[in-house]
Amino acid sequence: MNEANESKKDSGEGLVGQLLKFLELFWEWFFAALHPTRCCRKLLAIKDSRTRMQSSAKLWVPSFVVALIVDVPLYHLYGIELDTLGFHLASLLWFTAAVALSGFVIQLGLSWYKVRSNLADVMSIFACYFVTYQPIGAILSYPVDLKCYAILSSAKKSGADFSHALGLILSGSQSIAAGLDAVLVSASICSLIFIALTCIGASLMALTLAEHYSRPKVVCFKALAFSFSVLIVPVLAFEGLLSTYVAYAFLK
Amino acid sequence: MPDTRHTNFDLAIDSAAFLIAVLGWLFLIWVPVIIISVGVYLRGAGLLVKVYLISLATLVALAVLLGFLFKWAASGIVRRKPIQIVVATVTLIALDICLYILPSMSGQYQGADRFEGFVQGAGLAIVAIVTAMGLGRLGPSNE
Repeated sequence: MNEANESKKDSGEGLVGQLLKFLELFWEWFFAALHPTRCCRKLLAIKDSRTRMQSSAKLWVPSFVVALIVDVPLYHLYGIELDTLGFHLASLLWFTAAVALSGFVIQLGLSWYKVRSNLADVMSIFACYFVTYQPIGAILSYPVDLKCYAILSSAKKSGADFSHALGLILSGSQSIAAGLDAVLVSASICSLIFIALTCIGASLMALTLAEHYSRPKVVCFKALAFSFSVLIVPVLAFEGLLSTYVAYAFLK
Repeated sequence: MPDTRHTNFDLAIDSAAFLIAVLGWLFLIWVPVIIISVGVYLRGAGLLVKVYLISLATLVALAVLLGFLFKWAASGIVRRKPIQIVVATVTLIALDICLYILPSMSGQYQGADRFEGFVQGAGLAIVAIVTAMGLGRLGPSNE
């Protein structure tokens, strides 16, 4: 009897412990979002590369979860519920792959401009200034996603295959988007804010890299501009294609 | 870490410089790729081959030229060089007029497109203004 009670108590404490760890993770993410520069300083002060990578990866999960919560109403509108595990796991996979590839590609851009950077440093800085703000990205891409999902859903209902649906999205399908004037108007404003925030994040990243590696500011700006406009474009296009395909497969 | 002497004002100017550098790369790489792809797609539309090729080459050359100009200007803005700041501001204003203000006045944009055109035009104008503010922060301390 006593043993059973003790094991119940242990499992209860274990659950509380897990919950506290989970909350701690969220608190760390929240702190990073409030003070990105301070968080970046903290991460870069970690000597061991592996520990630094692990610490920066801890910011990805809460960021993804909050972004997912933001997107729940949108998914619900098109028949994707929270229990559609396949969709959310695939989204998490594409998100993680996109973050890892973007970090790698930025590292490539930096080495192209002869900045002797370290992948763990680049990933940490990228996580602080970009990945942390994924929920804001989700809010800002809401109107564009709404338009895309409306087109995808309409194409799927009419029996069109994925390539046809993709063609409709790329051409901005006026007939389907005709009743979405408010969405289109918000989409253009949100895109503008998104671009402005990306530029601010990239500038902060360039300044951080310049100081961390004692390189001229202009060299880091050039390297990041090259990475963001030339190297990241194919990565994001591929990630967008896969995400659209997953959405098309799960839409009702 | 970002320098504490680096104010928000400097960050705004640097962000504008970053956007201009990105625009430079877009004009240098992706715009020619798009122009050539569209050109190949329209090839079968029965256009005069010589005129068609010359206009295509002119467009690509203009895009590449603009790309180099923006890249050069962006480096100068980060270093707070007055000539590059003035050139970038003037070019952005000229682009704004050619791409958004004139088409809007001639009624090329309708409905939601009109608002989108207005937002993009306003965005470009804001970038031009922020770039011009760089003239108030000249000096080698920003190197």
